[in-house]
Amino acid sequence: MSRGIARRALLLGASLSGLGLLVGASLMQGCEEEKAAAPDRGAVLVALVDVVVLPSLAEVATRAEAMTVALDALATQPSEASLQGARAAWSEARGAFRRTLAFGIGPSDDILVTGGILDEPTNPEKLDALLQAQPPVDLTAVRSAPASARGFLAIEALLFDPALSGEQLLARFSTDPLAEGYKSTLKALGADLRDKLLAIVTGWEQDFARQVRSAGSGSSVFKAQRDAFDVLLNRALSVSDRALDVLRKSAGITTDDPLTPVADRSDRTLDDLRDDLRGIENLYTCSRDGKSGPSVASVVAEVNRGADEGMKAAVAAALAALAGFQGPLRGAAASRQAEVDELLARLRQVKTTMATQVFNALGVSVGISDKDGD
Amino acid sequence: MGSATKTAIERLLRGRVDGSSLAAFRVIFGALLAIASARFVLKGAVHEHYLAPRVFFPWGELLWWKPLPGAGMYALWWALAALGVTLSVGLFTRASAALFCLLFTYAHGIDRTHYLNHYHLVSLLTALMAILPVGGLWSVDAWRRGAPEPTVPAWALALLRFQVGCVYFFGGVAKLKGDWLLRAQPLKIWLPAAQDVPLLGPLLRLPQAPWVMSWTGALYDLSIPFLLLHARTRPAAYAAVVIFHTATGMLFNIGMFPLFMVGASLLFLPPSWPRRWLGRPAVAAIEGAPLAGWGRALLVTYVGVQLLVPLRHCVYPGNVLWTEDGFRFAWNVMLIEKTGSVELTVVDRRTGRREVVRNREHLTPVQEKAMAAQPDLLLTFAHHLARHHRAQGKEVAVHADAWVSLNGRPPARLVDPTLDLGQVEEGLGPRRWILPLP
Repeated sequence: MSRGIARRALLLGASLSGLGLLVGASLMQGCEEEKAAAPDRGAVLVALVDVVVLPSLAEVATRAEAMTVALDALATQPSEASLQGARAAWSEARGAFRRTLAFGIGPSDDILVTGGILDEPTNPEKLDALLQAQPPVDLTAVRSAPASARGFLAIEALLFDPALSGEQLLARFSTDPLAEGYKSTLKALGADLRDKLLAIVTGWEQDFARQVRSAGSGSSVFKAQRDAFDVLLNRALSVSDRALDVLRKSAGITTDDPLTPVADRSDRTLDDLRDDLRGIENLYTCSRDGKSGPSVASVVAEVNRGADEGMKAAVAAALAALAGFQGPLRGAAASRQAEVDELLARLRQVKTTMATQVFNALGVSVGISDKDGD
Repeated sequence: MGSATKTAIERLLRGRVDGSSLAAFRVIFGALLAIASARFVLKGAVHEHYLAPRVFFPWGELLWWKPLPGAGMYALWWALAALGVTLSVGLFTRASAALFCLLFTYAHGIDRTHYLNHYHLVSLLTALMAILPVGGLWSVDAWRRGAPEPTVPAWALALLRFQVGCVYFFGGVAKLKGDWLLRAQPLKIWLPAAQDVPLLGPLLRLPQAPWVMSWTGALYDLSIPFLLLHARTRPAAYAAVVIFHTATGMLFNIGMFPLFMVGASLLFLPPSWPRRWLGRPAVAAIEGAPLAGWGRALLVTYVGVQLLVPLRHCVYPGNVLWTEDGFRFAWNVMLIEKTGSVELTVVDRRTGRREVVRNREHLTPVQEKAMAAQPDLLLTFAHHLARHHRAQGKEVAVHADAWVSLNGRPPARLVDPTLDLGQVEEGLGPRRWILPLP
């Protein structure tokens, strides 16, 4: 056989192999169950912003304003009613805030970078030092105070103390020698926290919402839609991970974790965990207050229906376990080990399902280099 | 071996061909190395790879390399960028290539979390460039000597072609697996995520897209080096190289890899292509001195190693995508979407006290994600935890509740949670401590 004929035979063989492979690929696809085209991920991001993020942040703004008013009312006219009002307003503002953690990106990160303190564990000594400052504490003094004397948990420390009766606590704002310090600090802490929360809301409304909506089509922050998905889902995963730390610390399983914030003075930790999960659920299902839109869940379901069902089931089971846990979580590991273990297992399932199945279905990456190459 | 083949090999070992192809490769590849090194610094990777981590994942106990202190790693990467420039212009060519290879390999040897196939390729190609005569033409060295070398040994060009061809061919062999061909994974996961890519995006939403791309991708990888070698198919094949890498560069976040491969594939063009492109007369192939015996032995050894290393996973039990035994240095390009979640617990052997490890207190997010899915990194981290506690006077057992999802499968346990990973030896043997993929 001449070399020319051999070459032609080679080319013909290669062409036929290629054709065969393409036909094979089509047949393989044909063997699968009929599927619709993948959901539009851009529409998912737009709906997420409009249905979940902005309404949630609007609630944060409303609750933050209401909390400031209630804290001012307590400082101005201390009474059992104003104390209860302040506590309720604080709790509602905190709940609204915790429900945004799952998508707490962009302005939420920026505010922390620029010194905004929202949710740091409190150091009683630092808070005492602030209370006793002369002249009475104002916004400027609070803003230069250490992180451990500011934010939600510093306000909690002023409003709640499991060792004190309601009357004794109320005395802080009336008959205590440091009453003026308590009152001015409470007002300033409330105003500081409100300003930080409103800055986050404004940051989203003015620009960041547009950046997420236009991911992959003009956004200067998210060059591709997958970048927005990566950042959002990594944040949600981090919330589920930290929820485990919160649970272990509050229940008394870990004793050497000074950095995890827990609302144990008010015994709101269970509610915090519930709000964290609600935020994750809202983000995942793109639903809130009876409204819904194209969701991350639909994208996951299109790739892997089992992953979507697993995620929804895991969140539902964790919420049910939290609802079924009666009484405070504080120190519960000592006397209610089995129940705490059950809670841990349910929360861990949320994290594991998200980190394995959901992330796998979406191809979520973590950092700038984990896929930068091949 | 037939006499025709013997003659062809002898011709390859004696012949000299136009050196302009190697010169052009040096100019282009050096420039890409300079750009890639500068990009590495500018995108913040020096901080992420060397300054942020508290723990590193070295290549075994003997290679416990540490990053340079202070701004040392920044200086090193700028030095690499400068060496890319000197290599490109052919100034102290061999020394530039050798130093680049050493520093680059050191930098990427610090932490195998960040291993990438194209980093391995860069180390190999720069090592070859330190030995092969790539600086004899169109270089400052040639200009300083006043005696450019118009030809190079034919085997030198062939060796570089072989090295680049290995990336494609073994990349194709690695795709001949059920996940790639019969499940269209991981493209079934990745393609819908790239639906916002201009022009191609709408096509990627079609359910057929992952299948077509999986099969054509495998076919492309397996055949392209051979199609590039034949004159008749070369133009179409090189066009396919450009189209393929442009498309993958648009679809996936794979940095400089497409540019490296488009540049490196120019080696497959006829040796005189740069001169023809510049409108200059080609230099004819001539016969030169045969490659010495020791040179032939080295050549055969190098080629043998490059042929065997990518296939070494065959001697390990289990699914290589799951165990990752023999996975690295084997051109397993874009084969897995693997995500994991791991909760490590250390148990004080004396008191029995258990403590859950907060991974993020030790690892960066990227390290944590990699450790949660890659078994050898999990083992290294477990050893780190054992050492960490031993330094505090505690002997601990380290257990892992590790779940991994591979290419869309339901999560499965990676290791037995009762196993003390601190007692498991790291080594080159099979990782029998990994539970099989269900």
